[in-house]
Amino acid sequence: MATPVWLTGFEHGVLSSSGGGLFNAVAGTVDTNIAIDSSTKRSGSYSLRCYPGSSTACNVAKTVSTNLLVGRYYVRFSSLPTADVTLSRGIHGTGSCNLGYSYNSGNPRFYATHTSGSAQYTAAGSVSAGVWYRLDFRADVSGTTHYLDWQVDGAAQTQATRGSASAQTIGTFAIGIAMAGVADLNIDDVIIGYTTGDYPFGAGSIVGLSPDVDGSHDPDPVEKIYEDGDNLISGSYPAYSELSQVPLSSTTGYIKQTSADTGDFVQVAFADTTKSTINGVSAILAYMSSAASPANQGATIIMSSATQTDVYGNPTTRADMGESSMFYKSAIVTPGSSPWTQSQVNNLYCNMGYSNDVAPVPYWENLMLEVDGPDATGATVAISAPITGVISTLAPTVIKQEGKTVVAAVVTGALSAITASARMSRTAQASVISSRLSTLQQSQTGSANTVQQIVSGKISASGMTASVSTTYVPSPITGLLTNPAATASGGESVSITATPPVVTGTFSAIAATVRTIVRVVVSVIQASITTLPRVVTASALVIPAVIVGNVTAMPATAISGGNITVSAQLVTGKLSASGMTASVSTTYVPEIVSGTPSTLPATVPIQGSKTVQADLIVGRLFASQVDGVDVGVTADVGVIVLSGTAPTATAGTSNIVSVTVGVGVVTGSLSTRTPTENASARASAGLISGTFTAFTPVVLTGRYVEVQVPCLFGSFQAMPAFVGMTGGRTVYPVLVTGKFTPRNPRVIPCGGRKIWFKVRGNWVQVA
Amino acid sequence: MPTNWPPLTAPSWPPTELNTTGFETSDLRALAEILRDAGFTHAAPTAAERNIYFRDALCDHGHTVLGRMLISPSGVRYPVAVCTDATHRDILVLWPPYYCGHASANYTW
Repeated sequence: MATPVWLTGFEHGVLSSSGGGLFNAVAGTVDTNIAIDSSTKRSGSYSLRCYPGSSTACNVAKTVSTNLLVGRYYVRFSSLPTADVTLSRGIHGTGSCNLGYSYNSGNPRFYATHTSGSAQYTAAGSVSAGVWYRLDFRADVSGTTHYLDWQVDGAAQTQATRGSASAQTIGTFAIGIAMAGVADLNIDDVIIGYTTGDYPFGAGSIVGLSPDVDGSHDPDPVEKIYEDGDNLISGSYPAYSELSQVPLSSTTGYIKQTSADTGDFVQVAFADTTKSTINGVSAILAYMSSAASPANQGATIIMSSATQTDVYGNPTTRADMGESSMFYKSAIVTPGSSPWTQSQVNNLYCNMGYSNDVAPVPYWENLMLEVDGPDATGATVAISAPITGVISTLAPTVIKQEGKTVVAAVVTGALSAITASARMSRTAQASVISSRLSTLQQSQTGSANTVQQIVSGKISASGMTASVSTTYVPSPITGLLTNPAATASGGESVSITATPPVVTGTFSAIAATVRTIVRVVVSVIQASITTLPRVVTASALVIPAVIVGNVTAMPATAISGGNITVSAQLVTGKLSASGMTASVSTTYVPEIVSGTPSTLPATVPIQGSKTVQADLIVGRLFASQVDGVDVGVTADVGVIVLSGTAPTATAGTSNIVSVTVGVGVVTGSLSTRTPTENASARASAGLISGTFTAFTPVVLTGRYVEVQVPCLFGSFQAMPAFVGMTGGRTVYPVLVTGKFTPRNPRVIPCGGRKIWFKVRGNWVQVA
Repeated sequence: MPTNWPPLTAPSWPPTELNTTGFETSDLRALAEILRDAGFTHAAPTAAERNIYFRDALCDHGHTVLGRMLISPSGVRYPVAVCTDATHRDILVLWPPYYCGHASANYTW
């Protein structure tokens, strides 16, 4: 068991040397450059603050008598001093053993040294402002070599020694700014002793326990002891409430013995401690009398079971309490059985009275126990939901749970601050964040009529749930992304105001034709996704709406080449085929851009740098299209089928080739896409009608087939081929099979040969 | 309160050698330990000092006192007074409340 000789967490709240019960010396001007601080403290309610603006000694000191002094205290710098500061001194006849702060040219560190000895230091830059540091020390001046062992936050440091010395007795322990210096620092949780084995006292804190209940007075009811209102101490006028004022300098309430009776005493007990391990207990008495003179008598003792500790006097040898101002006495309490237990501390009693001389009347003003014990170890602390309030009040709570797991079911308040608090704690999870989401923008799901915001940052759309952690992984956003006042986020500069839905329908039909997954940059998706890929009718002009393959840019030439009607959104992002679901990754900034068809193309920003994965594979893949030169038929072998019935056959010439057919990439039904005859061409062209028979593919990779179709009529049930290109010369079905029956199918180079088609039983040659 | 104490002609307290703006102790021992560390010595008062500082002084219990001079490294002499009552043994000092209370002078320097 530790054997301290003095301990204080400054929980008594008083800076005074009167009576020696608190301190034996105080240097500095109280409340000017040295004070009890209730704002900054490591534990309990108070700490000691030393804050001279100019070089001044500001400290408290306790008289000791030992050649081996062991101690522990905590120090915190509000700001780092710019010169060395002596924090504590064990003063003996030929100097002192000191712990201190070394400025070290802006790389501050702690040091330990003896007078005339060599200093030992912690690492440069090892001291920061606003941090509580624990300093443990053991000074041994019993021989001709003086030793100073020390630790900082439990880390042993190099022992400081002084040789060629003489045995000394340390008579004073001073702490604070122990020699003249400039700093703003706090000291807390001080404990010292004379036992070498107590080193290090280690991490611990000191709590103050005030009287909270009366014990068994003697006699009961008491006969000679009154509260300050001149009522006998009783159940109606208990003693504890008179003796529990903090700071102990308070003169509000006291008890007094007004008649001599050495058998009369009042008994009080103290609030319980939660500490399970106890290093020591100090009892403090604040007292005075109705006048200073002459001497009077009284006694104050602490009982731990049958073990008595005299705080000031005892029932046999009483003490003079004749002071006209507040005086203080203290004593280290002896436990009933060693070591201390929580139960023993919680069963301590204080007896007061026993006076045989009450002139002047002795006043027992206040009592307190200060209890030192190790800090509580960490444990999971669940904070019941909800936590509300501004984060400024929440954060300190979280900070105090450092090292513990904090689970807050519901957190409201400023999100940015919540994030901050979560980072302060080791682990924090906010299951639901609602209310003020201004920093992230609000996310909702709902119908198309619901006004919704662009979502960015740490928000998932599934019920406004956000998981806040240091590393955030957003959840997918689902639902419609409609927003009449959409604005791009994530650094994009988009000026278009959107009104229509970005995406409608489902991808199911498209998905049915998906054969693989291709990363596609889709700059413009024409119309709605439902009809994608859609063939624009001739009257609407042609737009190769869908680009399939690793196309890095939407065919700007196609867009800009004519009077294009685009009712499309600009969609970027990851479009999975499983419905209207966008998966938003950390680097993804969903962007919604739409506008009136006539203005959209002109203002759509180039999205060339975006990578979008679209699970869309339709029809055949064309690398490019160049009018009349190359349709890129490298893969066109035996797949695409052009079939159907030309309903009407009209005689025509064989070299009419002007046909307008706009088919981008087609899958599925083309029932609504009737190829339209070019009127001007029809006048001089022979028409083809009837059933096309098989056109056997013979095209090899790297080649192409040129088929000149004078005119096509009728409904084609499936025309999964790129036919496109106008211009009066060539239509390029990449590979046509089925009802075209070439008489002499063959591969021909571009531009010169003819192919025979059998129409209505007759072969027709086209150039 | 002590009688005729503190002396009006006493040097201002605290001594400059302590490098502080205020200084108080609980008793003579604490005072002596710290002053000695600061280089102070002590001596009996001169006849003049005894006459000026201590002749009419009484402790707060009305006891007569004996004087002692605390001498700073720079030679400034500070008076303290010790109560002569064997059970009271108070010490009169130069900071409020100008005495240290029962048995505070029980120290041999």
